[in-house]
Amino acid sequence: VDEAGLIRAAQAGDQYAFEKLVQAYDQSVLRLALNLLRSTEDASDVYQEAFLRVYKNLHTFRFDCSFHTWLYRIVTNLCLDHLRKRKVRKEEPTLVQTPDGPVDRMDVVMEERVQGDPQRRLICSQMGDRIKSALEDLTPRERMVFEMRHYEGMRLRAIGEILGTSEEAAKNCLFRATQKMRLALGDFV
Amino acid sequence: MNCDTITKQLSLMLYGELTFDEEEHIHQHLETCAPCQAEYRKVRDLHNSLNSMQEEVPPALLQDCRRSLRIGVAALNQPGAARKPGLFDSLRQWLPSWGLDWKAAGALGLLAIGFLGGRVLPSGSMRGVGLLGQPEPSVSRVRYVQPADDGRVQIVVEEVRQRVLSGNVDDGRIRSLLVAASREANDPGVRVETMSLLKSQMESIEVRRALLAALRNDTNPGVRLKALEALRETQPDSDTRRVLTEVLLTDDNPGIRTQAIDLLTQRRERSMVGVCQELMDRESNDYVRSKCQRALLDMKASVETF
Repeated sequence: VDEAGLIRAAQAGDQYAFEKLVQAYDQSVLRLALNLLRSTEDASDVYQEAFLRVYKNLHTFRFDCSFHTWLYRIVTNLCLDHLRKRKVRKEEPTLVQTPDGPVDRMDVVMEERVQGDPQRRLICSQMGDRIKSALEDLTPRERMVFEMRHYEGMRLRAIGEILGTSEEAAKNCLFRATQKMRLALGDFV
Repeated sequence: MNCDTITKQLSLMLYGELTFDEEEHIHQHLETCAPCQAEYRKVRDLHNSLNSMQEEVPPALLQDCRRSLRIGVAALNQPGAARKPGLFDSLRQWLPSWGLDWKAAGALGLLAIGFLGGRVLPSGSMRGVGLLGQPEPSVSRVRYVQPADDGRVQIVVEEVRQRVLSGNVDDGRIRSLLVAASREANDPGVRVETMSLLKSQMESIEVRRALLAALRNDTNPGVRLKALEALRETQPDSDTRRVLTEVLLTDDNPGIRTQAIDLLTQRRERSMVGVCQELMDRESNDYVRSKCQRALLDMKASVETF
């Protein structure tokens, strides 16, 4: 069954079709939320809220845009809300609960890549901190555009459509984001 | 283009967001401009460094999210999940709060009415709400009470009655009820029995979906095992294989994983090599591991990934 068929079936109340629709997108939705919010708890909240909104409002979907765009509008709005709230709270949790206790996910990522070389490990750990800090300094919109382009591989035109802006505006946003990252990480690269 | 314009566009070029002509101009410029070449290398290194920060979704987190979503959706589907303001909500607007929990007070009030009603009122004194002449309901719940114009009291009661239906399993209505029971029955024993009955109806898409849903979502391993047994009866299609793969990699019951690997590897398809290799990385049960190892050897595939 193609996507349009699944959407129509889900609109008619077919739970299985809705589940298949969710499974087609939920991994990338969760990854985007996780990368953006750097908190499993917040990312799970966004996932839950986004798909429940889809479920409640699917009957209003009229195929005016792609389902992907419609879904990501919901997801990005929720993520932007979280990021804006966090800007106010001035916090950026990166701790992840693991069976071995809380671990900073940034440290894990860097350490896995430089095991066995203390010098490189130190540099990468410092760079990880710097990247983390540079990401925090981006505005929520810059961060969103950057994540969707760099990590999700979306085209700027699609990003503009999702965020309700032009491709040119998304391009400028990405440019500002990469410039800021470049300045923040200048002496590491 | 001058150096300033070029450096502004380097990142966009790496993202593949420039036109062919724009990219061509940049490449031409880079060939003759050492400072821009150095800048290009830095921007490219920055991209590579940022790639290292990408986080993949832990499978357990995804499973947790899916489970929570199913619960959330089920809650939305409950009758009255998005109910309109009721009588008590309206009343509460007009009453002072006095620090009381009006829900609790209302519940106590209804309990008192129910208790007194059972003790004091003669059985024939209620009329007009469809109770007379009906068999006793198995479950009833007072939704709300309000005084009627004639001085009597109107009590709105929700009732759940039991009915006995009988028919052949291949009767569409019976089958639909069984499918509903496979999802909704609270008693796992009923769900197990349902799986056994549906086994003979595998040609129905509705039934296959119900069995797959039970295999993936049911909290009771006995029910999941029964669903798996039923699915053994037919040639697995792509949906079944996908769910079986998910179960093989994530179900916490080794018995179910054993059955799943038997089913998935019986035809020794090469597409199973990657799944089996992933399983070898994560599987802790020796028996399942030995099955997986044997399947990989039969498929002439490496037991480990490099």
